[in-house]
Amino acid sequence: MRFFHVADVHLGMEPDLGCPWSKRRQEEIWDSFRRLIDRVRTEKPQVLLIAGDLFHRQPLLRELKEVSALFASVPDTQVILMAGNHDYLKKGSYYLSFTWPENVTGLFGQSCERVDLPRHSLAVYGCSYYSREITENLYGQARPSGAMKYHILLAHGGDDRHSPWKKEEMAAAGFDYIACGHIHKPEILIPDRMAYAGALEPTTLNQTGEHGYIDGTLDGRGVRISFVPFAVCEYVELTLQIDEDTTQFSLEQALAAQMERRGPENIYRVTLEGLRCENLEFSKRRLKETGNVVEITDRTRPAYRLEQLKREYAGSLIGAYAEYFEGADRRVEQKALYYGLEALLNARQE
Amino acid sequence: MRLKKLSLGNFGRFRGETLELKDGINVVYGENESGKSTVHTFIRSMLFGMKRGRGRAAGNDVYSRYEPWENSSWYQGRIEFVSGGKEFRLTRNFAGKEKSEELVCLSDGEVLSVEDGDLSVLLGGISENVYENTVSVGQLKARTGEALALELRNYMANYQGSSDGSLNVEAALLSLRKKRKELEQEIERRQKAGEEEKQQLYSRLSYVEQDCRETEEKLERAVAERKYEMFDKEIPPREVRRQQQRFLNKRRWGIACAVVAVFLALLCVMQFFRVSSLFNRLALGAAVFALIFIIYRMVRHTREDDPEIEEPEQQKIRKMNWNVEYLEKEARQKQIQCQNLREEYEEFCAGLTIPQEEQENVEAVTLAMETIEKISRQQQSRVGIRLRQSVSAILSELTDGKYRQISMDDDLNIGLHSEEYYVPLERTSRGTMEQVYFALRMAVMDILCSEEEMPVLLDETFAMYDEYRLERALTWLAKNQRQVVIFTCQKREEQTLERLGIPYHKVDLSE
Repeated sequence: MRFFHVADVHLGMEPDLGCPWSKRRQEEIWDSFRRLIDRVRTEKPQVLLIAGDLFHRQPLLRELKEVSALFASVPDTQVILMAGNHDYLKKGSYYLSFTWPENVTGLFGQSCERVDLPRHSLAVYGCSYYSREITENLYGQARPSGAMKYHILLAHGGDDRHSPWKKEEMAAAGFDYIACGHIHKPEILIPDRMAYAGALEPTTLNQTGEHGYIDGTLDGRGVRISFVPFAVCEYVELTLQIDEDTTQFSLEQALAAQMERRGPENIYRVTLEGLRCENLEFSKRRLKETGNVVEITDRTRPAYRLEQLKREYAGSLIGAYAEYFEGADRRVEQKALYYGLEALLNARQE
Repeated sequence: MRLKKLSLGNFGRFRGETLELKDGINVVYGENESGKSTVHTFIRSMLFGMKRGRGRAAGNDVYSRYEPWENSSWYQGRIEFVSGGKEFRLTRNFAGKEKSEELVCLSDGEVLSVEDGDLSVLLGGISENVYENTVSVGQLKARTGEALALELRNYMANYQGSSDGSLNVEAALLSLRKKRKELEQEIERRQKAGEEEKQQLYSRLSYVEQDCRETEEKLERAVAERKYEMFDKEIPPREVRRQQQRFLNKRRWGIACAVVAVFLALLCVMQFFRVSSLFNRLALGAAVFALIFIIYRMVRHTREDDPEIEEPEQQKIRKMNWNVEYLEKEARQKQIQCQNLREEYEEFCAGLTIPQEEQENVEAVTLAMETIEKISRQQQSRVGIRLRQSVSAILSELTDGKYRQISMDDDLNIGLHSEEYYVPLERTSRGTMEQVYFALRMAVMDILCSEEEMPVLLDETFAMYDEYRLERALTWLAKNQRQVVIFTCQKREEQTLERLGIPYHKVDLSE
């Protein structure tokens, strides 16, 4: 029996609100989900597990209709879904009143319930969120039961405010596989036993690295899972080394070249490091306009040689100033040192 | 420290030149372009090494300027000096790769290490910056009286605040203040952008909320109307009677039907027993007639009834039901949309924080300003009073007691006090200002080089002095300084020294 395990699709979300690519990303998230269903259609896994947060917020009727039509287009695959902390089952949620196609089962109970799929000799366990936060482990009592041969638990959460759990305890419950959602970074918690599929598409700037879904097989020999990269976009951390010859223009060029190489569709978090030419400051605004740059952190400092300055100016204000910040390693003090030195050295009339 | 011998191995225009210097006053005479400033730079480079500019600045740095004209890989010099009663020899090679230095004590043959700071100890710990502010004395650069006064004022202020005559602390603070303002404006700009985004979200939210409310109101109205239609609207008695009548009618016709049927069945029985055929025929005729009548009545009745199966009231209620149902769906959808948007708005507001890095930069600039002010105040209280006393004493000697005191107020205005009157610095002659400058430099030397007495290098310092002032200055120098090197392109210093009978050593660069 083959299954796909996805989570945290966050349909409807507008990532990086206020950035020029925000709307584009909103559409890409929908597109990726449609592509995923296409993939299901061609690869024909028997089961598609959706471990919560299919929607970013409460789904609208038309959105559910869209999703439902997509599910209906892969009738041979049994879809099992649940509501996570983002699309939790609020009073009046369409999840509850919606009529799903035959191949879709919602685990919409408040506590763990079991769904048997005799065709695959599989039992899937899980429940849904009824509030944004749940501070006790929803899955603490869940144990495999019934006549089915295989048992999969669909679990959403894992941090302090969303069904906190210990992975060892969860794994000890005896399920063949625990398909986890909520944490957006894909992570195999226990090899071939328990994993976060991660968000299908990354949604915020700290979700660097690859995103996709988990492709698994469950048979007499046990479970084998592998992560499949699927997202069209990645948040990439770029560190640019600055030296004294770097100018605004050359930096923009270097950044543009890097982004071109790593994929212009990606979104970049840029860190500038190294020693910059004295009296030069880089324009963050211009750098941001070079491409999809969501964040710029400037860790450069002017290329003053501190020891030399201290020696050269010992006994006068500049020396005393450099001395004053000796051993100060708070970032703000380091910055103050260089701001001050720059101002003082510029204020010397040669 | 006293300089004894300068050997310019290969430095600038000099090759294998050796200059001997003695204690007391030395006059280095040379016409313009004869290399006086090269000697100056040589001494400084020997004592403090030569720092290379980097990047684009390298093209015009000291290193390049004095790179030997010929054979530039050999770029070196040697000086001999006395410090703490011992003689030392310092050799340096400046050339890029072979850069090296060697410090030997000639008195006891000990080899010392420049890198480990031995030379620095011999120099009494003074830094290159202090050296420039003390040992090496040039001329005031400004030409007009007013600018001169200003320059002097700045010098004095700078010395007091930073022990560095060319560092204008106020200018540094001003540039930092400007910097902080820029950073704050950037933060403001960012916040404004966030605020605009928030406003946009808010107007979207209020539009959707309004829409949602309207739908809800419509729904409420529709529900109320339906309720009125169903329960509250009184159906008139006539209509009630009519409806009852219709019901009774239907029943009556049903009974009539049954009666005819029974009658027909009876006829059939009678036919079976062959009862009188006339009676039989009559009865059959009556039955047939009755049947036709009943059917006619029933058909007519049904036709009458037909439009009344759906009465207008009921139809209206049904329509209302549809409407309510539709509005309910609409309202629910809109409510969810509305909630979602409200959540988004709230999340956005919660995420609207001051950009951290920028905030940190503002803090850093503020810290820089505070620290500079603090250190400057410390320096001022340490140096300021001593400096003024010292300057006053020297000035008094230079002017033969004419000006006894110098003062500086909070606005940095310098004034000179004679026994009887006070003159603001701006109103004194250029010569006096030069004297004040000289006194200032000498005083600073006293304060900043307290550990090891350094030679005084005077570079055309007396060019603008008149005879009298020159005499006073030279007399003061002969009396107060152990080693003085006067760089000049004129013969006046020599002549004056001779006239005053002050012994001096002459070095002629033009030879």
